[in-house]
Amino acid sequence: MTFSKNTLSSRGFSSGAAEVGDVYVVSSPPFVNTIFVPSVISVAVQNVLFKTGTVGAAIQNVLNYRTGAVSMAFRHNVFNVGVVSASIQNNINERTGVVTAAIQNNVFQPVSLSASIENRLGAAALGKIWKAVIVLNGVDMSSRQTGLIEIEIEEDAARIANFQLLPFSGGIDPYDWIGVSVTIDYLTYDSTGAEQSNHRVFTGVVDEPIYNPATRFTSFECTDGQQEFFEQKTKAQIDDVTGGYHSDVVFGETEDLWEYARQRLSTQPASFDFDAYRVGRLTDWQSKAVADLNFDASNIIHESLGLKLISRRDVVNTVNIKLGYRFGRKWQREIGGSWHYPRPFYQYLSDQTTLPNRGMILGALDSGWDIKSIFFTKLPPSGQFTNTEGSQTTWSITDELRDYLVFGVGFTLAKKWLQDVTEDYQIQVTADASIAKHGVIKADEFYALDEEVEEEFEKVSEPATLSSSSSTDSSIETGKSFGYTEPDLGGVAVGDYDTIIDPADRASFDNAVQTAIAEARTHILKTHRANTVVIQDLLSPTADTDKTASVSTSEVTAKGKIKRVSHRLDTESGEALSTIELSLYQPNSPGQVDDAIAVPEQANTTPSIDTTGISLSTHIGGRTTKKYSEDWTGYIGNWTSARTFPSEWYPNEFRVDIPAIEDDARDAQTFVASSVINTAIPQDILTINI
Amino acid sequence: MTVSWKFHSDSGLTAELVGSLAINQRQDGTTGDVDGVIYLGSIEEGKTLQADSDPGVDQIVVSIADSNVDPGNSPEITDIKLSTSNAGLASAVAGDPLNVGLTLTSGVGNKVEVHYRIITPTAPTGTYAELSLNTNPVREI
Repeated sequence: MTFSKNTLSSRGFSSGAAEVGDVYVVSSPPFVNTIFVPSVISVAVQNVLFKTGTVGAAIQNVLNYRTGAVSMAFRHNVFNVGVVSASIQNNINERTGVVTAAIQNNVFQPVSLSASIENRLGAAALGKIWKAVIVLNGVDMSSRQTGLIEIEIEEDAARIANFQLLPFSGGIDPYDWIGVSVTIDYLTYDSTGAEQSNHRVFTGVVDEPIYNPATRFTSFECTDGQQEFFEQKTKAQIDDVTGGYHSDVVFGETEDLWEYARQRLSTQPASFDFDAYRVGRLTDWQSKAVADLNFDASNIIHESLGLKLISRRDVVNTVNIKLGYRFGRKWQREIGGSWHYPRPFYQYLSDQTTLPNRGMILGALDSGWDIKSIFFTKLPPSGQFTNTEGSQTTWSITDELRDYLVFGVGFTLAKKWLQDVTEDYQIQVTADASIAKHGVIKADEFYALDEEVEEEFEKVSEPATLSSSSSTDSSIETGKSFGYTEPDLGGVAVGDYDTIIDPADRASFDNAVQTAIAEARTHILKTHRANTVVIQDLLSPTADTDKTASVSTSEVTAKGKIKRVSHRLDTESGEALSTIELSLYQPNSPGQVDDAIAVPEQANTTPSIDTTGISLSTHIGGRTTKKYSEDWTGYIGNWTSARTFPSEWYPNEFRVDIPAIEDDARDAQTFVASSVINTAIPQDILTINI
Repeated sequence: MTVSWKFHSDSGLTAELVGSLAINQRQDGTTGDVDGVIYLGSIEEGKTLQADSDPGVDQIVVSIADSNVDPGNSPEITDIKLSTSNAGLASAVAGDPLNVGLTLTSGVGNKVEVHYRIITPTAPTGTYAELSLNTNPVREI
């Protein structure tokens, strides 16, 4: 360390407390400042202050030159501001394999949470406190119920109820709930807690219990079992319940009893459903003269009124029914013929000709016809007879020959056949009031009823089955075919020879016609009641599909049958509302004619047939030049003696030409009948106030 | 993905508010104001809710909406006061929205109480369903 000495001139100097390491100056006049090397030795500094004034003092600086440098150590603390660094050590180990990393994307969609507020001002049910009592399998579960209770009631449909119960303690077997009985009652109380009303709103069974393991809540979907109700009945029982019409011709055969019931319901403007106590009722679509329920601004929830009118495309006001009734008409023709030797026996005795025999005749008659009856005239038995010349002549003939030769024959032939007859009914079911409004909007329906045909009817008996009652003492022998049968009763005679028999029982046809008309009529009516008015009100437990309701607001006046009701009871928010939908017939036109469902007058299918009888004659050859003709009928033979020349010699034959069956009696025939049935659109009220 | 925050009718957040808050009042005003409270919260764990506009900076706001089906002749937003406490309803300004926080955390203990006071609306007798409480768009993280 190097020391120096400074001598300073100063008027004064003060110093604070001395600390180790500092430089100290000691001054006194004359000011001699000696700078010492700091040391651990402390030195008291004494400042002596003198009076003010001008004091002159020579400052003598004695500088002793020394080599060296004066230095002071500084310690700098340098900080890094804001940056914290850390060394990173990467240990990279080489390993084989696939490195995977799961990426989780959380995508959020901003939403606004909302809670609606329903203000009910001065409503009739103001202050109403309600409670839903749910009895499940005979046990009141109301205390376990939470959340929503929903009950859906709709025409022609099962009543549905849904609710949810809080967790049960212990084990749960939801399967045990299936099919158990459920009732839901809606009770209201006044502000003092006194019960005001108690209405059953649902009776049914649990269709499906759904247990939620996450919430441990059990939801119950319940039904009144309308479908099952029908499925457990016979068709006859369903007929009693639903009424209406049914025809397999119109709907097709079905063993599905639920479908069968719905088909019957589709033939009448009415609905079948269960009431709140599970009692079935059939309700006409036409509204009652006086409404059961009336809704106006005081009980309709503000702005809940809705109106929906039918679309023209959905309207049907004309149904063209074509119903073909096809059956096999039974014809039975009985036509007779006779032939007799053209000369008396005494002439034959003097001058003989060939004679026909039985086989020849039966062969001629073997033409697909039955022989109803036949009689043969025999030659006289052996004996003495007067001949042409007046002398007695001995006539000798064996019984066999008498039975073989034919001196005369009479017969009646019979034939049966079936004719394909179709009665084509064209029935137009209309709604004139709608046609006047919308024009014709039609639908076409085609049905066909084929009666079973008895093919055996046309079968021809064999001639070999001919039986005869013969008497050698008689000149007449009669015979009768085994195959012949008398015409059925109820036949209608046509002309001199024919009898026609049509199906006596037309019940199936009549029923098919009535069913088709009824279904068309119902379809027309259904499309005209698709106008709906919907309102929402505080729960109305008596609102049901068998009720007529009126709506009267400044916007709409309406009255019609209730088509749908939806009860919604929220035990958390206290909301208990009914949504009620009315179905309204339109158009409203006075003076409409409502024709009854009637079978059209039967088509006139009686044929006009002109049948000629069988004509038989005799042609004898050997003494005539007349040429043989294949058009001849009857007996064709020859003289047995005294043939003249020139003369024609004919074949010995017996020919029968049975008139052919006329086309009108044989070919398929179609007869057309038509009718028009008008349907009146019932009068509901629907007025829109603009 | 739906937001787990819901309005609830109970403080335990077990009953999500479904449907409407049904307020019955006599039309002549004799029923007086109707007070109530609903709870905004989430029972899920580890979730937060923030305003979507500027998460963590903007407030989550519950405001009253009016579909105004019949302005002047049906309930209006000025018929409702909101507050986070029943006591606060007295000084609340009818119709004003309610700030419920910058960030909400899930859990029953973190629910927000939304107290409302329904002042009898000046409207004809009827049932009205045009008012609702709504938050601004929020996001859940």
